[in-house]
Amino acid sequence: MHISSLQIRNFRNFRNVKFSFTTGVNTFIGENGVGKTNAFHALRLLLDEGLPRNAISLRETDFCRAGGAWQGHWIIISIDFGDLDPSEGCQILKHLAGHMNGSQRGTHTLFFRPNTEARKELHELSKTNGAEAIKSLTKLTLDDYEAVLTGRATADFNDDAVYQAIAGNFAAGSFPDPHDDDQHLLGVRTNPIHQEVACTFIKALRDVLAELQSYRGNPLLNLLRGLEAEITIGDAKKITDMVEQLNTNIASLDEIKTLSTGIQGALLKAVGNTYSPEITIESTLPDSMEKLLQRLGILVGEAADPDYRGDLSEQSLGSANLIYLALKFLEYQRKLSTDRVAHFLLIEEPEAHLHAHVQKTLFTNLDSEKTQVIVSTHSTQISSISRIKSVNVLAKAGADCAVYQPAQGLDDDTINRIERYLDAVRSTLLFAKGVILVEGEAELIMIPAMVRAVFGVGIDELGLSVIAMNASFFEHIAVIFSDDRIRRRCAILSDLDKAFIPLPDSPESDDKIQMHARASQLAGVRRQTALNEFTANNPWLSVFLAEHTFEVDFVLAGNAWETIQTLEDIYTREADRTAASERLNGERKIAATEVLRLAAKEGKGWFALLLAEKLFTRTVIPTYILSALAFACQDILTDRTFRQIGLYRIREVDFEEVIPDAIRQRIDELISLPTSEFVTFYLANLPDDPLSTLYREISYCQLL
Amino acid sequence: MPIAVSLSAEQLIAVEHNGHVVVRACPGSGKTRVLLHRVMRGLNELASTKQRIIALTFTNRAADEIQARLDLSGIETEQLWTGTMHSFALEWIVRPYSAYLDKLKRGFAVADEHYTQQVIDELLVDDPLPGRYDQVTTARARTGANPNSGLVAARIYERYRRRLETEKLLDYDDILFYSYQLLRDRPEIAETLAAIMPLICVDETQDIQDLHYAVLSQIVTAQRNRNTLYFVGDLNQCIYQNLGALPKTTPEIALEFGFPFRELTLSKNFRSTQRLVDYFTRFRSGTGPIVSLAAYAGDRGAITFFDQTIDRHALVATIIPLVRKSLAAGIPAEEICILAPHWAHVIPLARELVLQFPEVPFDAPGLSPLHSSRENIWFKVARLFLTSGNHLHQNSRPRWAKEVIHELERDTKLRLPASLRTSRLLLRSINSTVSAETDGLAYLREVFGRLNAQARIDLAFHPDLAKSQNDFFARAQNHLVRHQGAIPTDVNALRKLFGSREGIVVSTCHGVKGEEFTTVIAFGLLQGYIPNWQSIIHGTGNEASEEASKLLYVICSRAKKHLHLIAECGRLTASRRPYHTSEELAALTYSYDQV
Repeated sequence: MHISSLQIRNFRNFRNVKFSFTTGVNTFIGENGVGKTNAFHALRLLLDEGLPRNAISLRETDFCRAGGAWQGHWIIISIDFGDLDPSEGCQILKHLAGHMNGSQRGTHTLFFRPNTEARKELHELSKTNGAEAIKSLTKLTLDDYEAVLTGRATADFNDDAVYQAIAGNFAAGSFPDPHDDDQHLLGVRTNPIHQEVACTFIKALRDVLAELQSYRGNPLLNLLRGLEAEITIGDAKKITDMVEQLNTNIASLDEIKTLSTGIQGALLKAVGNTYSPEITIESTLPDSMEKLLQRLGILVGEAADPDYRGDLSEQSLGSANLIYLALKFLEYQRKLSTDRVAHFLLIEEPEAHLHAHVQKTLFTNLDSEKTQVIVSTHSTQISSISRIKSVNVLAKAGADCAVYQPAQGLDDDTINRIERYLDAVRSTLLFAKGVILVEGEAELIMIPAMVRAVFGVGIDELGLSVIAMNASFFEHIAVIFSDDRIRRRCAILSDLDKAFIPLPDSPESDDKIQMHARASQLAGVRRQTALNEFTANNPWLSVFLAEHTFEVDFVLAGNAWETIQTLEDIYTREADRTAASERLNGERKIAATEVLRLAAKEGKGWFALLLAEKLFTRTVIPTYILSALAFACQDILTDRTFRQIGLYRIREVDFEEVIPDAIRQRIDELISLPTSEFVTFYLANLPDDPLSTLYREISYCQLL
Repeated sequence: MPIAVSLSAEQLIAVEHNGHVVVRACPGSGKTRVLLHRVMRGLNELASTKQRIIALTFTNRAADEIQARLDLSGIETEQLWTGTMHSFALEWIVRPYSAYLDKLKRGFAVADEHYTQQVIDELLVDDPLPGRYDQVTTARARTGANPNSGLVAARIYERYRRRLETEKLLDYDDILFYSYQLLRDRPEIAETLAAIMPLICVDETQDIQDLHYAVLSQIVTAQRNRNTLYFVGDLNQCIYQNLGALPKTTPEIALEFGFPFRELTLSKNFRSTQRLVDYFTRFRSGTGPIVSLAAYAGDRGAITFFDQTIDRHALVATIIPLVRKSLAAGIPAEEICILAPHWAHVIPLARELVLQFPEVPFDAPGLSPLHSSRENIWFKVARLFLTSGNHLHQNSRPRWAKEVIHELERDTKLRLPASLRTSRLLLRSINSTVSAETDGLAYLREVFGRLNAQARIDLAFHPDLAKSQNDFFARAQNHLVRHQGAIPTDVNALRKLFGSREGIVVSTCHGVKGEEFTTVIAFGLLQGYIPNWQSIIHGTGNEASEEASKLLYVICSRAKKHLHLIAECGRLTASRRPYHTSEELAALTYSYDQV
């Protein structure tokens, strides 16, 4: 039995999302504040016995603000289960939530909605006057709300039409009759199922030590509890007799007696006979087995000093966490064997507790049949991340939050290919707000450098990631960006490899160089066709091609100066530098041939590193790259970032023909402009500046 | 009876036998004790907290009884479910799986017998049945076919079903029918229930209906050999045949379920004198002697018969000396029972007895205006207001309160406010309710109103709940009107319904099913009551005489020592002909004792 999905509507920062889960270890990936903890809380409301009983009576602040006024809306949290087979201790859960249709699935749903009376009133009003019904919504208070748990709901709560049918049409003011609720869709009322499952939530910055010393929630105490019943009466008696004897022995020590008489004397002196309480000093080691067991504690040894046993508080946070988790596992293993059908372990940011390798060992050793783990992370260093099938990407979308499943609908071969590709570093792909996929190292190095030099911001500040494909095919990775999966923009950057040397009309008369150029050119066209076909009808993908190849397009865009500066690092002889420099300043064909020669000589990656150091504010970003940047950051670039870049350029670009002095001198006045006015000013007065071009390109993308 | 009392050899075998069992239990053989022990054994042997032991009884009272006895012995009953077949079907099948039936998926309520009878009566006004003793039966067949053969009855049945459907109501027969349908059409439901219920015990097996068998059969055949069926009953005590009971022999039961049952017999009577045993055995169709193992087996006791020797108006005058004699012999009042076939005869007699015999306490449930509303939610609320936390109910009240919370929340689809949400809090609130009202029904109206206010339940928004409350009071009021002056109506009189059972029991043959008394005085033993006119007119002669035998068997076997039978004269049929003594009784030659 495992959780296969979680649907949420109108809860906290989730207006309408669906999470998917597999057996074993699952991951929530997302930046801070995106709602990972809220997603955990949604699961806990339905599964965690440890939450207070009235936890499902939600509050105003639990309604999603992105949904507008909360009154009248329903919060829906619905969990789907898979492998719900009545023969394995799941029978009660199946009875409460199972779909009796051969699917071995189950559904448990929490509705927080206006109660029957309020809904009936809304319905009656809406029959005659929709506008009145809408107006009356504002009168609803939390007292008019009820929390209802159902089993076996079949509705797709993510479907807006379904939501409208059950909760009402808030625009038209029509509300359904609560006495006509379709239980097949909404499910039949049921008891909480949290007694059937075990759910452990491990907070990110949890104080394990405090928890291990507390009475409630201490897993060691839970394990010790009830153990006294298993100890034979004889053994128990032997021990309790010894304790009793011990207590008596201590109390009868002369030193103790003297002390207690002394205290009594002091009291008498101070308050007199009437008010003085009777004092004795005794050893209070408990003499019942049950209480004795609860005094037991864990001591931890060290490998370096075999004789030493220390208190838990001496341990590092990591070890204490590990011990805590181990105790939790044991606690639930014992429970699982008796009355829990599954254990759900929700771990917030395990990187805060445990080393990556410890996590890996811990998670791979779990009994995945009965234990399902969900970890949340904002780190790219999580080992389990490479299983994109079990990843849910949480992404901010205004006040709302979107959830993407990068592997949804993909066949296993494709998934395997992507998973092989996604090592820990490249998994940034899943975090980025926008992505530029590039051919190789040169672009990987140069694009962030160009953005930094020209716009004064890091590429990550734009929310973009540049990812090199190296030997992989674009299609294999870009496939995760789509309506069904990750709804983030992904620009594919490649080369058309058009020959820059003239080619004869007939290939038969090609010389060796021409033949090679012609072959590349043909391959480029084929690549273009394939990529265009691949990205057609997918608004999240777009292809951007260098006319020739990256280095050539870079030089030809007007960056001969930067390229010439690298010669210092490449050649020691002045003559070589001069010759190369002349060629780079030469006509297109010659300059192009020369830059390719230099790149080949130094290696593309090394050459790009050299080049990156030479970039400055006047470096020209090749048009196709600027377009790709615009496409990838179209949903991200805010007016505030625009202003930041604009001010950078006005301050830093000291070329009259790019930024006129007249404008630079007005910098103080411009700083004080409201953001939107600044944008308008910039676009109007500096129409040819690359920032304005980027802006226009974005507007063009958005128009599409 | 403490349940720890050791079992006889026969009883022990019946409790310890593994596998599917039919226990044939003669009257007084400790059937309930055997059932209780089997349930306790089942509870002990449970392998998982996911399983439940199911004990199905014929009446809610019997279920309460089982629960109360286990409560009193401090046995953990978390994993026991007891109740009637109807509540079983409703709670385990119809409610949880109603979404799978188009007719039920948009909600439904349960119509009680009072309401369904009212509907049928209304329909009959425009379209009367041709014969005086014709009846419309509402029992449903497995196929869903109309069970009525008469043209008018069949038509009324169809209209009745349509009416309930438009009102989104289910009657008891619907509950069984839809349960069967759900189990048949979705085998997974049966499989799941089978995995939950390793042991299903059925009491009074002789009185269960065809659809009961159908429902049980779907469940236990879903996962072969994982469930055990434990049937306890006595074919000779089947007195509900005209209400649809379908007594089956052990081979017939095996045929229904498709696997063999072991038949075990409890043939030792621990209740009656050997003389009484020998007497009532003569109304029995089975073979084999019944031996009395009662401590007083050899006592002579008394067996008397007033065969048309007294007039109906002299009943009280005849019965009072009989009662006095028993009391004088030191028999406590609650060990004396006066019974007749019909409430219509019992209630006037009870009224007169109460008036003419004021020094003796009577326990006459028929006199309470509430006794016919047991299934009603407001009866359950009233029960909490009319009982207190003394030793008598201290174990049961929390459970009753839990039931009330559950049903109120279910019917209003609202959570009760936090101040009433647990049984402890609800009981605290109820116990602290004070009212100056002394009239019983007025008191209930007042405290119901206060509870509703505290629970923030506005009946205007809960038509079903409002209807049950109206029904509850209407029935009580009707009862009062019908028995004007006979019934004390103050709060204390209402409390008596739930008080310890002290006083002479005045009830019907069906009402004392399963009980025992030192002295039994039975009247109204007339042809037309025993057997009923319906059986005489519509049944074969054999069926009618069988019914009479079974009723007499049940009546006579209630007595431990003294049995007084009365076939009074002076009662007239509708066509003004005198009633005669029940033929089965008249045909028996026996040398009765002289009074």
